[in-house]
Amino acid sequence: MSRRMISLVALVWLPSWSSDVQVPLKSDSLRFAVVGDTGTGGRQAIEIGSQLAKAREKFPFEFVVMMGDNMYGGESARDYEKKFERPFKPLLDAGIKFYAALGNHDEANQRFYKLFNMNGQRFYTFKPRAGIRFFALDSNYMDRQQLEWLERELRSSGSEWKICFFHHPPYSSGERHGPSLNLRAVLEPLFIKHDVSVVLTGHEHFYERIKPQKGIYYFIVGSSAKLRADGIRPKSEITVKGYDADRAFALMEIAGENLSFQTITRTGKMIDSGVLPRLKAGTEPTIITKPSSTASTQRR
Amino acid sequence: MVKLMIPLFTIAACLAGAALAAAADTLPKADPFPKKELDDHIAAYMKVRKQAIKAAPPLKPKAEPEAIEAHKLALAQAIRDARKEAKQGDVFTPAIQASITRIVASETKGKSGAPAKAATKQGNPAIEGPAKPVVLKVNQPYPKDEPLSTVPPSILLRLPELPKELSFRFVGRHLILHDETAGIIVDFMLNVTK
Repeated sequence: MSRRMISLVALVWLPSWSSDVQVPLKSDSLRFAVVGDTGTGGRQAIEIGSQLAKAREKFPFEFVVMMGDNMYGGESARDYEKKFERPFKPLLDAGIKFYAALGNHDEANQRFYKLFNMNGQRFYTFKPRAGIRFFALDSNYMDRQQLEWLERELRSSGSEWKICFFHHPPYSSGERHGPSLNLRAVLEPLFIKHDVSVVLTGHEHFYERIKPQKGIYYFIVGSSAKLRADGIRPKSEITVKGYDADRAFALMEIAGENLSFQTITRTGKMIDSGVLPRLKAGTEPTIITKPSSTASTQRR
Repeated sequence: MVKLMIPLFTIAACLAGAALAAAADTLPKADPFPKKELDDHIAAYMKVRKQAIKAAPPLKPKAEPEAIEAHKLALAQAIRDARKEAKQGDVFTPAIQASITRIVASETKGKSGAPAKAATKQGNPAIEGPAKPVVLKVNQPYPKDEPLSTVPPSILLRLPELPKELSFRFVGRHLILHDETAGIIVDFMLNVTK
């Protein structure tokens, strides 16, 4: 097998999150959670927060990344409490850090909110482990300043795992929004040039794992409170797994050259999981999957 | 003699001008953006803003929600007080409006401009927001329930850069200059997109 013929072997589907944890839980790994479009303050957001706290008992993640639309509607002090602090109280009480990106429903002032850890910046980077760096971007306003910053930071990061997260998905099978092609045109060349490994986004109110695009993994986790039922275009050629029947979040673990993940609904049902080897951005991997994890979209 | 030379000179100059114009048509056209004019107006606003921010309680990079809200409201009020006479077109003068409209039109037209045009609708309050329309008025607070539009990178890369406190945003077919922290409309221009 040539070097470029990289095999991706997905794990088998497992019946229920509550019954078992399928991620490796290695001692030296980095574990984190992914939520998106959480800011309703509604019952479903609270249920997702509660399920995340439950998940952490078995999968002790260190932090949560937020894909934007952290607060819908007003952003008074009371709204911060209602739409973020209350749903995620168990995690906040446990000292779990949240790192937010801005969505189109978010005021830029959220960058000053201490619990979002943005330090007053619309875009920022952090390195939770040697060899792993996250880049939070503001996809609402991708101007020259931000693109130059991103290029500079990617070039100098020196990390093997470069994970970008932001609101608008460059690839999507969403019937309402679809892919942000204009954004893709400016970001994808940088991602390839600087070997970005994973891109996490929201905006579309469903879960979608996209087939690797030019050696980069794309996830949409935009249904952690809002849901667009039947929002995924059927028979999309880029979907590995789509789920638009309930709210969801993702758990991820990076250990060495592998990223393991599980996607869980607010009722605790596991809807996707797998182990993804780090690819070389710009390459087209050959994907080998078990029959049970072939492309599928689950709808109502 | 002098009388004869003047018309001859004029004709020669016209011919040369026409030749230059013809040659120029074959070259890529640079954006004749009145950048200095915009920079001057932005600088004037930022000067007012710098004074206004002194009236607001300080805001740290890691703040409580109460502090964020207090800062925003006080800053917006102080800016409004200092810009009581401000009116539409103070920043977006006719020349600037014409240039921005031209850039937006060229980036959103045809098949190649379709992704950018689609992006101007993402988060656009006239399309994705609640039913009530955004009132376009200088110094007006941007409605708290409304999303903020995406501005396509292809357009941003052709427009002059703004200070980080300000942004261009679409509201329906119109464009506003938005103060990101104070949450107010600094200026606006109509019918930028088709």
